[in-house]
Order: sequence, then C-alpha cells, then structure tokens
Amino acid sequence: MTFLHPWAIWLGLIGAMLPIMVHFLTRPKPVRVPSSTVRFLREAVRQRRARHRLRDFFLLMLRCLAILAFAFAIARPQWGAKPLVVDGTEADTLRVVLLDTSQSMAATEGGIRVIERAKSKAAGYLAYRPGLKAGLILAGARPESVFEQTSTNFEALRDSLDRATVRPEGLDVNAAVEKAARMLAAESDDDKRVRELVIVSDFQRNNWAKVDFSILPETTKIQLDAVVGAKAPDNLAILDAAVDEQNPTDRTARLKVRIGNYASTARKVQVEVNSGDKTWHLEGLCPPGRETVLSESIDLRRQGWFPATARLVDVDDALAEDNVRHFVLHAKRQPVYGLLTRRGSAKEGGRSRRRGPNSGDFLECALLSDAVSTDSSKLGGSQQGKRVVRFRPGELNPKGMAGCEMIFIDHPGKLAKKEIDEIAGLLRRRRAVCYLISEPIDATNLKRLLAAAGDIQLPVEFLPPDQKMRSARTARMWEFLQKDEQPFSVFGDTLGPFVDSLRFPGGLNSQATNSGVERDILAKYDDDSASLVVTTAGNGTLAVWNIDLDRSNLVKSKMFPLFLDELIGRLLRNGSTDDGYVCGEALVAHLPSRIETGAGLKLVASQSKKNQETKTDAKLGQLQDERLGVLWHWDTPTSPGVYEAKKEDKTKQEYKTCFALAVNQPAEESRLDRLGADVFTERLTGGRQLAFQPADTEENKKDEAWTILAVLCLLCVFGEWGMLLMRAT
Amino acid sequence: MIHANQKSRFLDLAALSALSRMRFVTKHHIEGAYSGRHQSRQQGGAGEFVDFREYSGGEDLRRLDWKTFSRTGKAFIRLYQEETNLICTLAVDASESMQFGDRKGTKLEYAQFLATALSQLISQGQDQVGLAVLDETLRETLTPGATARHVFAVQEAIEQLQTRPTTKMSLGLERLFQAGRRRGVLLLMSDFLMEDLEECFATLRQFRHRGWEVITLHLIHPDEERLPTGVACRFEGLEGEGRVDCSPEEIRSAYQEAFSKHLATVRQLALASSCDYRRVSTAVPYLETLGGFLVERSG
Repeated sequence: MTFLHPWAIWLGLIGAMLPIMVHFLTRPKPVRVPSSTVRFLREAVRQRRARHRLRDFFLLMLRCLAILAFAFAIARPQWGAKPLVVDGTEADTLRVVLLDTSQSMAATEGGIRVIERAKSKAAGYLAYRPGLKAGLILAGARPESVFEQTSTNFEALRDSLDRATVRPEGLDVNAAVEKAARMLAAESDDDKRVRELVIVSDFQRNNWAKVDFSILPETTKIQLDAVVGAKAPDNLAILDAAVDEQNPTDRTARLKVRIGNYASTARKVQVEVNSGDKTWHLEGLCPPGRETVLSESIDLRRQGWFPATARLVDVDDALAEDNVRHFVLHAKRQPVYGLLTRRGSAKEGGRSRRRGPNSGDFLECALLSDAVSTDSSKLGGSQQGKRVVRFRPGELNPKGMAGCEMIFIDHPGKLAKKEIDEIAGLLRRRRAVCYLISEPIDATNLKRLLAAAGDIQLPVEFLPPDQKMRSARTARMWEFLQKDEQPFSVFGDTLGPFVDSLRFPGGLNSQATNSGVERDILAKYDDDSASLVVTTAGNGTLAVWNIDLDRSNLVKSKMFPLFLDELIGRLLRNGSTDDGYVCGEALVAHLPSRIETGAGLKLVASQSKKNQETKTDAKLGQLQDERLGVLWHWDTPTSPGVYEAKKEDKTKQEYKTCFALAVNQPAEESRLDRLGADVFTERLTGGRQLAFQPADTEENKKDEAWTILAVLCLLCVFGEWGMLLMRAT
Repeated sequence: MIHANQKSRFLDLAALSALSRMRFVTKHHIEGAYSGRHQSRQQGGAGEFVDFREYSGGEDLRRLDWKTFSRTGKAFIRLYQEETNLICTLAVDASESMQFGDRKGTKLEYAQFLATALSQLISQGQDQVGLAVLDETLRETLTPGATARHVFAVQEAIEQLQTRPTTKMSLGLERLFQAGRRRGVLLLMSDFLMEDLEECFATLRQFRHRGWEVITLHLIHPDEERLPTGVACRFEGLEGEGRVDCSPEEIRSAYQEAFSKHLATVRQLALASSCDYRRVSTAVPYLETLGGFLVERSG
C-alpha cells in the first residue's frame, strides 16, 4: 500500500492527538464540595460511571477516528506495489521507456484504445527533470528506438511517442529488452547512474511469458505499467482461413475458418468469405475459451490464385483488427507424381532384367487409373495431363522433378550426390518425397539424403539385415499401427482383416535413434522394425516406407490404391502446410516451380473485396532466381493483405497472377489475457528490482479507499453528533 | 460553664415566648420522679379518680369506697390516676456528617437550636430534661433534671457540642440504654447517615420494649436532597469516607434515587420499631418546626 500524500498521515496523527489533549487540557477543575452523603454519591457513580465511561470512550474514539479517517482520505492510500520509478529524486538517471506497439495494443477497453492509454502513461515518464536522460523503444516484431542512446531531447521523444501507432505484428519482447539493455549499459566502471526501465504494455501472456530481464544491468529498476486489467476483454478472432482437401477431379475443396472465442460465454458467429465475385457464409457456435473450426465445401471451377478475405459479421469485440483475415484460394491442378527408379516399365520392356511388372509398375498402376505415363526425356514446359513421370537416376531432369507435387523413389540403386542434392532441394521447397526402401543401398541413400536435407531427423535408423535374417524373414506382418492417423484411419473397422492378410517379406531393419519424434512412426512390423515413417521438417515432408513391393502381397490387395491414396493425401497435406506469413517478420516464399525466373514478374498488393489492384510497390520485397526456382524475399511485410506475383501474358497484353500469398497479423495477438503480476514479480525478475503497476482501471478500483475513508469520517462525525444529542436529551 | 445570667447562644427566649403556652406532652404513661402533669404508669390513692374495681383480699383498705360498700354491700376499690413529671432525654447525633450545611447553618446547629429550645420548654413544664451526646459511643450524658442550673448545664453542653468523624452510633445508644434508670422519653436528633442503621434501630426497639417513648427527628439538609450544579465536583466525605470526583449532572438522578431510598428506609425502620418519626428539614426555621412538633404531640 502506498500513499499519494503521505504528509497527511502525520497531520492526521497529530490531529488525532488533539481530542485527547483537549480532553485533558480542558478537563474542568473540580469544585471541592464537602458532602455528608458520599456513600450515596459513590453508589450513584458506580451505577453510572461504567455506562458513561463507555460512552465517553466511544465519543473520544469517534472523534479521533473521524480525524484519522479524514487524514488518511487526504493521504489517498493506494494498494499494490510501490512504484520503483518516481520523479522525486535529483539523482542522475538513465531511463528507457519501452512502449508495446504490437497488434494487441489496438484493443479497446472501457471505450478507450489501449495504445492511447499506454501513450499517456509513457508520456509521464518522458518529462524533463535535471539529471534525467531517457530513451524510447517502440516494441513490435522488430523493436525500434528513437535514439540509439538515451538522450535529453525529451521533445523529440514525446513527438515520436505521439506519432507511435499500433503495428499489425507480434512482439519480440526479448529483442526489445536487449535493445533497452544496450541503452542502459554502463559506460565505465564508475558509471553509477540510476538505471530505470519502464515497460508500458498490455503484458499479453503469449508474448511476455518468455521475457528474460537478466540481460539488463544488475542495478536496473524495472517498472511494468500495465494498461489493461487482469481480466482480459472479450474478443473474437479469425485465427486462420484456408482451403483444404482439394479434389482436383471434381474441382471441390473444403473452406476452413478457425475462430477463437476468447470470451466467457459461447458466441454464435457468422463468417463471410469473399473472393472476387464469390461469397460464402459460414455459421457456427463457438464455445468460450476455445478455438472452433467452421468449414464448408466450395467449388473451385477455375485454376489459379485468388485473393480472399474472411470477415466476422456483426461482431463488436475488443480487437476489431483480427475480425478480418486474408488468405489465398489456390485452385490446384491435377497432381503430378514423379517416380525415381532405375527399373523400366513392364509395358516398354524396361531395362530391368526381371520379367513382368515390378514394384514401380505396381505403384504406377495404383497411382493412375486413367492417366498416361511418360518418360522424362519427353518432359518439357507442356506436361499438363501427365500424372506420373518416371525418372531414371543419372538422367535426372531437375525441372521435371520440380514440376511434380510428389516424388516416389523406388529401387533407385546408388544415387549420385547431385541426385541426392536435387531431392533434398525438393524437400526444402515443400515437396513430398516417399522413399520405398528395400535394398541395402537404400539405407545408404537415405542417410545421405537426410544429411543433405539437414533439418530432417527420423526417429529410427534403417540398416540392411543379416543374410540369415533376410532369408528367414519371409512373412513379416504389421503389428503396430497408428489406427487413428492417415493413412490407416480411413479403413475403420475393416483395418483388422485388411492388415491380417498382408505379408511384408524383405525390406530393411531399423533401430531407434535419440533424434526425431517417436510419433512419426506410423507402423511397425512384428520384428519391431519400422514400417512407415512420415516426418515433416522445414517445408517438405519425407515418408520412408520400409517395403519391398516386389515381394509383398499388399500390391495384390484391393485396398492398395486406397491406402496409397490416403498416404499421398497425408504427405501432400503436410507438404502444403502453410503457416502463414505475419506482419513484421521476414517473408521467404518459393514461387511455383513452373516459374523459372523472376524476370518479367511484378509484385503487387491486391484488395480482394473490390478486386482492385494497387500499383507495383518496390517495397514488397524482391525476387531472387535460385537454382531450383524463384525466391520471394521480403524483409518486413508491414500491413495485412494478399500480395501477388504477376507475370505478363504477352498474347493478351495483361499481367496474370502466377503466385499469391497472404500476410496477416499474428493469430497469437488475438488472445488478450494478461500475464499475472505475481509471475513477473516472483519468476521473471531475472534478479532485478521489479515492480508491477496494475492498470488504471484496477488502480481506480483500489483507489476507492479514500472514498471509504471519507464516508467513515462522516459516519464518525454523525455518530458523535448523535451521541452528544442523546446525552443532551 | 455558663452562669445563670448567661444564656446559650442557641437560646432565644424572645422567640420561645411565642411557644410559652405550649407544653411538651406525651400520650404514653410515663414513669416520673415527682408528681407532675403527665399521666403516670401507676394508679395510686391520690390524683384524679378514674374508676372502681372490685376489692380483692389483701388490698389496702384505705382505698375501699365505704360509701358504696354501705349502699350496695359490695366492696369496691377507688382507682386514681397518678400524675407525674416527664423525664426527657435529648439525644443528639454528634457525628461529623451533622456538620453538613451552608451559610445559613449546619444540621448540628439546627439540632442545637432545637434541643436548646426543647430543653427550655420542657424545663418550663416542670419536667426533667437530660442530654446524651452520641458519636461512636456515648460521649457525654447529663441525667435528666429539672433545676435551672441543670437546664443551664444541659444548654451549655448543647452549645459546646463538637462533632467527630464517625459512621456508627449503635454503641452510644446501647450505652444510653444501659444508663437509663427510669422510663421516659428519648428524643433522638440525627441525620441517620450511618453504617449501622439496622443496629441503631435495634437498640431503639430495646428502648421501646422497656417502655420508653422514642421520638426520632430526622434532620435533612436541602443540599443533601439535591446535588449542586456544576460541570465537575469533588465531593469530600466529612467522616473520612474519601472523595468522589464526578459530574453532578451525570449522577443526579441516580443520587436522588439512592437518597430517597435511604429516607424511606429510615422512616420504615422507625415506624417498624414503634418510634415516632418526624422528618425535619433544616430549610424550615426551627421554631416553626418546634411549633408544629408540639402541636402535633398535643393532639
């Protein structure tokens, strides 16, 4: 508890002594009266004194209490921690004010935008006083300071503060603290100036739970000024919007919108999705404190890239900015699969010495029903309609492989380093690769591929089996399956009979490693060897299927095409996982592999609702030609929206969208709940002096003590008056 | 010792002249030393004829009514009421509380005036008057007498009364009871502010039992009935009872209640002991009080 005017307490204490002093000083000098009836007097006094003394005591207490209550009311007691940063001293001080300008600061609480309240608070710390040097950091995804060092130019600091606005981005709190630490760093060992860091923020749990103050100088006093109350205001937000489960055959897809209801009550929401002239409406009930996915099946008649916007309809919540989310509708073409194998097709006689269909043929048959396979030598710019493309090691066509959505590797023999690098590059570019390992050389290839890809780690290591075991292991079975996961979940109750009938002779052994995620193993054989491992790392997805399709009876099963389809679905889903691009963070995007060069492309920001395009903006980043495609690199996307790469169609004299991406505010910013004060003061101090000042709304609540004291004072006065009146009557 | 030509300062003969025709009488049969105007307890052969009574053997034949015997043939004795003088003992409370009073006088002075006047009146009626001064014991006693010198001595003793701080009187009364040889009238003047009130009235009951007529004059000063005004007073006891600091306003009602209860108790005890009780306020002039008292007694 602190007092706004502590001097009033001393006055109150002196004042409270006054009635007692007055009582003793003005006590009437008793008149001496001889009496013959003292015993009656004594008896009367004995009867009345107890009651009268109690009344007199109460009178005195009421009088003293009234004065004390009045004094304490003037002193204005305030609950909470005492602020560390006060302007009552004349000592040389370095002060850094860190203002949170992340998206959540745009929230409205009590009819006032939080950022305005924060700016008002921060301005109070940037007032001139002798010996004070101050700095201002506007903290977002990339903190910016007005001056590199603390300064006495308070006018410039306040101007910058006035101009500060909320940015649609997250908060890199440790980068901001690090910047403050640099500004507060001691110039020499003799630098004994007082160091203060004032942070004005909403202290959103998502951002501040990982703050580390230990990088600040040890003598730094940290004051955290919250601008929102402990109870988070109600907020609804669109956290994500995307098109999923595309079916290129019938041109349908499922539109999914993820809604976060950060309120205490369930809300029925309506989402309007606009893309060009099309509008979809999604409705649903969102339980409180949870995320809900609303979905609807939509038609995608045209192929291409279309900017879209999802918007919450008729929602009045704390943060309006997250009620809109941009995304891209990408109507995909028919998938093209690549098959890397050294074996030829049975239809064309092949280079394989084996007679009859081989594992590649089985795969191709399962993948295709009506498509026509072709040789890689005939691939070029017009390979539409081809769904399976065979590649032979040593004759690898990089551009052809890059045009495939998914690559199967089966019996490739020993792969050259160049081929390994090509495949690793594909993995980095969001491609899915399924490696069917059955030969000892496949274990070597896999190791080299993992080493080349860099950030992919498998929970198991595959090894060639001993010669004895290889001959003995003729009837391996699936024993462990993750039945609830793709590709097994689709079989439901029929999975048991399907699995029991299957045998998997051949293949490799496996042994567990310390790296990787155990859950990536989707199936195991009865000899504890991993059968199917699917892992996602970086942008691509790698599936390792330990199977020899030549010897397994899986290819003869009617379920094989369905199983393969489910596996592909899983891999393509993983491969197309789009985490979304957020404002304030560097954007790196690979343009589709069909785009060979960035020359002739222009980057534009589109407005999907009005279907209007802005002019090309040089600040939208730059395109870089790389060996395997074109890379769009943008340091700081500043505002949410859909951004497109357009290529000129010379025949039609117009620019056509060849790639689009959506940039949004971070979804984490929609969850407005505040980190508790005790977490800061007990766990996150980093060994520094730290005080947490609650928000104005709470302070006002806690500052109501003076009104209670004033009422108490009045009650005491009236009580005393009443008692005196009673005594008089 | 005052001389015959010197009178007590409490004796105002001029004022008493208005009461000279009044006598201190009693309706009780008393036992006196000499013949007088008061009915004796004894029925002798002289005095005023009151009745006949049938003769019984052994009686004095001198009282036989021969005329009646001759007419009726039956022997009757003539009965006469003897008249004797009154023996009155004035008992005065000499405790310190009797010194309570104001500029007009204390209770003791009032008692002194009253006792002196009574002694004068009683002696004028050829009756004997004595004095007993009571504090914690029987401090001074003058046996009843009727001579002028004796009356002067009584009045002198009354004049020279000195109070003592005591809160008990029963012992003095008991001593007086033991010293009294003839039945007479005991006139007790006191404020009855004592601790042994019950014992005092127990002794008075003994007086009554022996045939004494006991008259209690309860002296009350007006300032005792009501407390003085003022914010704070320090009441100091006259009989070593300490002091009490208080605001009279705070305890006024309680005090009056306690004092009234005391008055009622004294009256009840007096009447229960067959004593004649009279409340005497010192605010009333003593002559007025005395006149009323004598008129009341004369019936």
